[in-house]
Amino acid sequence: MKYKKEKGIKIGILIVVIGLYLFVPVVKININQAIFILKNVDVDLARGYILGFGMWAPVVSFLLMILQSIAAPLPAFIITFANAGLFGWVKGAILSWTSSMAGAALCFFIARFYGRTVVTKLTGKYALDSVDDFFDRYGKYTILIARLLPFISFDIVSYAAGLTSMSFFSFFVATGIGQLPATIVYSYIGSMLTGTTKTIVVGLLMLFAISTLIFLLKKVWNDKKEAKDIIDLN
Amino acid sequence: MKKNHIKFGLLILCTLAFTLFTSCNKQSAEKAKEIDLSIYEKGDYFISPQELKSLLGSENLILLDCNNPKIYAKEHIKGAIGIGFHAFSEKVGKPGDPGWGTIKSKEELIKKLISLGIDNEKIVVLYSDLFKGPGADGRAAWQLRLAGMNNVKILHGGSTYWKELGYEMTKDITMKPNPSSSITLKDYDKSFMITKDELFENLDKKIVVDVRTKKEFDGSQNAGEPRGGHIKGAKHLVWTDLLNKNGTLKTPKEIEEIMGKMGISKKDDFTLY
Repeated sequence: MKYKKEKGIKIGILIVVIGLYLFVPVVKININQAIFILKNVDVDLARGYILGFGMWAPVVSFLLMILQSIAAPLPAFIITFANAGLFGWVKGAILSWTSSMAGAALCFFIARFYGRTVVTKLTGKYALDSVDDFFDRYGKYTILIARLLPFISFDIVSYAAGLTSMSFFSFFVATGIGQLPATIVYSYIGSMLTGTTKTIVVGLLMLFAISTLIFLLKKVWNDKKEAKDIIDLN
Repeated sequence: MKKNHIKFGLLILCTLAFTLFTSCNKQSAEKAKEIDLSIYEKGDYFISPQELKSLLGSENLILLDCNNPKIYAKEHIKGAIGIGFHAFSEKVGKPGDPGWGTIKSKEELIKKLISLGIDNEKIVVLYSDLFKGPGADGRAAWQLRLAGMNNVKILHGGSTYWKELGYEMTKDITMKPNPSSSITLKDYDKSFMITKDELFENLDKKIVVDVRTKKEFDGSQNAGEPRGGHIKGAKHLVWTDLLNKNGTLKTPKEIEEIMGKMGISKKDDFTLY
């Protein structure tokens, strides 16, 4: 009975969201326009778009970042650059960072709310359990590494984490720390980011990521060794 | 099992045949005769790929890529600066807002051109992949020409024909250009543009041609249009219909025929959008 009710709520929310998009023209047009602006991958265009909303500009930027998180293929760095140009690099970085955190949290909860049963059916319980176990122990490091690597999709990581049993708190903290360097650097350098500087930034992030990875591997190895020692003792 | 072997053999054969064929094609394209642009009344708006190739790396060339930045990041002509679709347009607000997407004022345009290292002397060449975008190179060239810049040219056939000739594309990063010292522009030549209000007042007297995709003409709103559809009474002709499959221009005769079928001759005054 309880299960049925939950299912009803899930389907209800979906219907409301899709209905809003399809039957409320204002919602549909604005979402389509926002997607069109982001698809152009043009910082000036995004900046003009956000600026056009006047005093609502920060709110629109926030919503734009959340839209970008849900719709996987849209670029986030365009919004980060535009924010830096509009609000100065410090305020821009704070805005970009908080809005991308909100976006990540939303993805995490969407996956947790809708995904578990569906994904278990797809992957088989055992596979997910073993990933779960890994995420339980090392999830925060995995997330941190993924966040530092600029070529790993931000949104997919959030969705994937939502499917495991890792706690929201550790996911959120790891995301926050992992996002920090890139957000600060992108906001500070902004659209000045050309060839050589870009290489340096990517290099630095890789360095962070690799050190985290080494730390993680060491931890995994130590844990394994400990487990083995216990077995040997028995 | 045996079947698979045969399939595999066939696949290899096909691949070989294909590579041989394409390499032969490439060679014949390399030897392709340069297309004579002087047959066009405004042929000097264009530059041939052969001529551009000989200018690459020169101090006197500013090469602007008008593709979506995603495509630019994947491949562009060596030394090109990626400027996207809307480099010289007003961008504050959103599609449908008053003034959004109109051409920048003269003062704003001068600022932008100086930042790109453009002056009145250097040759400025614009290009795009003509089948993966809205032909933003054409619009930008039209705008700069109206501002009196005769040193602006469109690459004939865009990167489409450039690639067909087997000329090189690269991922190499282009250094930011040094700003130019100065540039002089004329006021926009108004005889080649019409405002929304002017057109609306004379709608029954004007020939109007919508050159967007069929889908957009029929009401699609995928390019951010706040309202779908087309201007009342507009005819439809996709802009790429004036091009060959490799991006080069159809001959003047072919173009006149296409326009003739729509009831438009050279003497007519008509509006495109």
